[in-house]
Amino acid sequence: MAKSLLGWRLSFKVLGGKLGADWERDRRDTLFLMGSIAVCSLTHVEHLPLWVSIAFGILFFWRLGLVLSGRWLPRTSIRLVAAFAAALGVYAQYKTLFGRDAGVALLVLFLGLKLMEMQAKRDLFVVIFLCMFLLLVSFLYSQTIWMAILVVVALLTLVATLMSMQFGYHEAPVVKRFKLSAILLAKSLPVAVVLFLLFPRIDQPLWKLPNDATKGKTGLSDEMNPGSISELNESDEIAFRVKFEGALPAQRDLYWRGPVLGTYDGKTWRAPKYDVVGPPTPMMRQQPSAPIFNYAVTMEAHGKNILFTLEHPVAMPIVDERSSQLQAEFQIVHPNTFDARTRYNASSRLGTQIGLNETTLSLQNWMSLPPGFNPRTLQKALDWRNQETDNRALVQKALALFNQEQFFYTLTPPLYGRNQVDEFLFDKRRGFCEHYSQAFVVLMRALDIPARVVTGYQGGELNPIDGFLAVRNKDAHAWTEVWIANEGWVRVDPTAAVAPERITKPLGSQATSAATDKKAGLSLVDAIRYRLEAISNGWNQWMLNYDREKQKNLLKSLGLDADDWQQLVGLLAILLGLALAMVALFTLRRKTKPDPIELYFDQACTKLETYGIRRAKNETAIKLAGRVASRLPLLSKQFNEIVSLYNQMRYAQNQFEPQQLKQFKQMVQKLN
Amino acid sequence: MFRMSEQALSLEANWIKRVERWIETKRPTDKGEVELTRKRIYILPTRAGLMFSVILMVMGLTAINYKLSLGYALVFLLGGMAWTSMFNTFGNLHRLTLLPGRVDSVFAGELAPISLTVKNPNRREFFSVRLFSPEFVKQALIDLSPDSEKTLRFALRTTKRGWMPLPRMTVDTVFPIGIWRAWVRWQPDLMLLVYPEPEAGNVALPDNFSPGNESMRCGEGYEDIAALRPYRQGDSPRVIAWRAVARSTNDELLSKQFDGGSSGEIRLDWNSTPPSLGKEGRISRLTRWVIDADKAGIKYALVIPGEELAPDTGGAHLQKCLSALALLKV
Repeated sequence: MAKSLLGWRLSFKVLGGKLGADWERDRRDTLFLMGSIAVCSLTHVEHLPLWVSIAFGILFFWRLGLVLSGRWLPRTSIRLVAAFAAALGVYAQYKTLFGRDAGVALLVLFLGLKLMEMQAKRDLFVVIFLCMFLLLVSFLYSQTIWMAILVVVALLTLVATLMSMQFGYHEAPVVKRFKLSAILLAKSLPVAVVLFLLFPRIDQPLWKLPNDATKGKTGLSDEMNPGSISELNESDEIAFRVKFEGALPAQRDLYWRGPVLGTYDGKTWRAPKYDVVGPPTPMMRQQPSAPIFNYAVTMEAHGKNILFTLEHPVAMPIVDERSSQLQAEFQIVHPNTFDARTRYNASSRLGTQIGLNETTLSLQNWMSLPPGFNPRTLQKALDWRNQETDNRALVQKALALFNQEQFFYTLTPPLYGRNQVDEFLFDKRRGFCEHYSQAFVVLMRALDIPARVVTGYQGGELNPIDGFLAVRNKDAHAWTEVWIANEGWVRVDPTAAVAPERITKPLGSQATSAATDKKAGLSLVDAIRYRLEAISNGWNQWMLNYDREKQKNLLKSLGLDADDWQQLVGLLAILLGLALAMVALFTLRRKTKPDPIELYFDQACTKLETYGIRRAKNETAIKLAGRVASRLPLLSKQFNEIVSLYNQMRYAQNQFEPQQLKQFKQMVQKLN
Repeated sequence: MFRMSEQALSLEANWIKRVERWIETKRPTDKGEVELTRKRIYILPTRAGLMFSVILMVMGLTAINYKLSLGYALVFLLGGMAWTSMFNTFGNLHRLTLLPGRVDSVFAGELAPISLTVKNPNRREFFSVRLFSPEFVKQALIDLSPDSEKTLRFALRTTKRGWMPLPRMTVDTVFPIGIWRAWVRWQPDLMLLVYPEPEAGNVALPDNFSPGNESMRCGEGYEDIAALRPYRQGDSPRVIAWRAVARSTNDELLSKQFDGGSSGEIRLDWNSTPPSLGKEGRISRLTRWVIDADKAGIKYALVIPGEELAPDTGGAHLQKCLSALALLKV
């Protein structure tokens, strides 16, 4: 009661412009804190729903206004209503209060509300720790180098805020606070590095991730809808990066296989259902003469269990110590979903034949068409079949159709109606890879040739700086496979027939894979872009991809066994000890460097001690000289000179000369 | 708005306080200068520090679960900062030097002024070091630049007469980030003599000297100067005949010799105080008498059980009498 009365009185004082010293200080600290909160919330603006950002902004500026005007915080009832409204809003937006997005939105809103009840020092700590947590969860959305820099800046302001709260009456200037905070963080770096490198990494999540943990991270979808309004992913975001050992395959051979689609209902392509008969065991036949390419893939998280390899892999890549599996459609999947950036090694051989063991029955899975769709296409197929019996020749005929007739490759196709393929083949003739693949497969199936759509990525862009091939979301592609007796599933890319440059050269880029060594020929813009991407890739490779595998390799190179816990713990303990010792050394440095004058005079006194004269703690040099004169008359003259020079250097107004010190040193040495 | 300074004292959790009490062995008092070394400095996390460790654990679990590489980095950086700041907090006391200054006697119930010096002989800067004791009226929060010292003045609450040891003081700091608290207990080997509390109210000097009564009221007694005599050590400044000194040619101080001979002397006797006052009450009465007699400039003798102080005047005599009363055992 008394306290709150005092508070009232003081707050009136504040309104009247007479600021109590304590108040001023609190307000300054609060302002500082508000600043660092602003920096921290910057890391979340991008992905929060607009209303959450606005609500946070309102709370933030409300509190800022209260700080500046010195008014009271709103009543508890108002704060409770606001908290309830926030929870309700989040529930309305996400239909849940849990999960990644809802959780972050709640966290941000509650931080805003906490600002409204920040009263005691303890509350300031709570707010700062909440901000730290906010910084951590911002990594759920982005772990780029830029985000890391932003987070470091935010962290610095948070530490400076913590420090500001601890200052006594004397407050260090803001710049000094930042300097001290930076020193503190810099000194904790060795510990952080040791822990980062050696702290045991765990592969499996500790609890089940909410479904939205890795939402919207893939450039590929499970189904294909060429007729609907195109949602072609044209983003420059990286899907995966590939580092080849040695030479790169030709651009036209860079087919990164993904899901295979076979069931068609006249509108949408989906994964095969196998309702007739199960697929045969996948079988490959390698061509001994074909070259093998070894490469490492760094795949961004996409929330699915698909691995991308060059068609076709020689062995199944191993990820997290578990082997991936070859599906019946020759796509490669892993037991786990990829919720984090993942790195794996793979090798592939071009020209490998697949699916030679398909039977007439199993091929039925790839031959059905929905009845009552695309009559003109069916008629055309019937005409062709009457002229030609060889399947190979029919494939060529279809490709020739795309190539020689007026077909256009466009990323903004017109809308197609019910009989999409008819309209595409005979009327509009505009589209991108999905339209061509769809039309081709329908045509083939109408010809009774087993055919299917393969989705995945095609091509990639070589960064001449670091030699990594970047495959982006916009490189997502759809091509087809037809089954030919004795050859198995043969890749046919109808898009290439229309727009060969789509295959041989990545879209929207001037550099081709042929330009591998043309560093000098790069334009300035490209050079900068490649440089930045190389930095970003290096960051991904060394910072973000540091996983159990890399940890093992690092330990192996140190001659240690990562599976031996005792060794790991021992090493961790030793290195941590060293890091902390370093910190201690820098923090608790020795006393003032001894004054050289005192040092030499002490030496002289030590010499006197051998003659039995010990200088008392509070004895002046002159008094000591007096004692020396009475007890050791022989030394007296020498010692008097020392004392007089000592007093002169010590107490004379002007600074002593370095020469004097030298002379002093010699005199002390000669004293005997 | 909010208040902070009140909270500063209660920053440590209760169990931490218990641990503090448990690990502090009974230390002997400290003679003279005390250098704060690792042997005396204790350090434990604050309440905020415990909160921080919980937050760090939650952050670590999040980073592990979502495989956030940068999350690991952030958690380890913060963890490293927690450890580093422990050294910083410790270093914010380490090799400071504490030096007790002078203490002056006061009457019981008054505030005794105490001066204490904190020296920083280091090249480091020290921030926000707190020195306090529950017995002190206020706490001190100081910053020390390299190679500097600060003298702090405290007011000590006194209650009982007699020798009073300086209270156990705490020097502590939570700098730089408030998650650790380093502290040192310090009890200088200094005693403070607390005089008895003089009785308040209208108390007359005993009857065996009448002019004293009047002189107490308006100081008329000063007029009855019998003679001037050379200054003797211990004479109160009031009895110095300043006018005469000013007139005299040499620099010798002259004191006034008051009138009255044996009747000018006063006997402040334990037995003349009414036993109804109680023992402490009688001591208070005597104390008041001594003070009044000194003010009046009268020669007074003090007779208390086991001790008898001959009649005299002056500061030294006053101190002697007050000390005797302070230490009187009855």
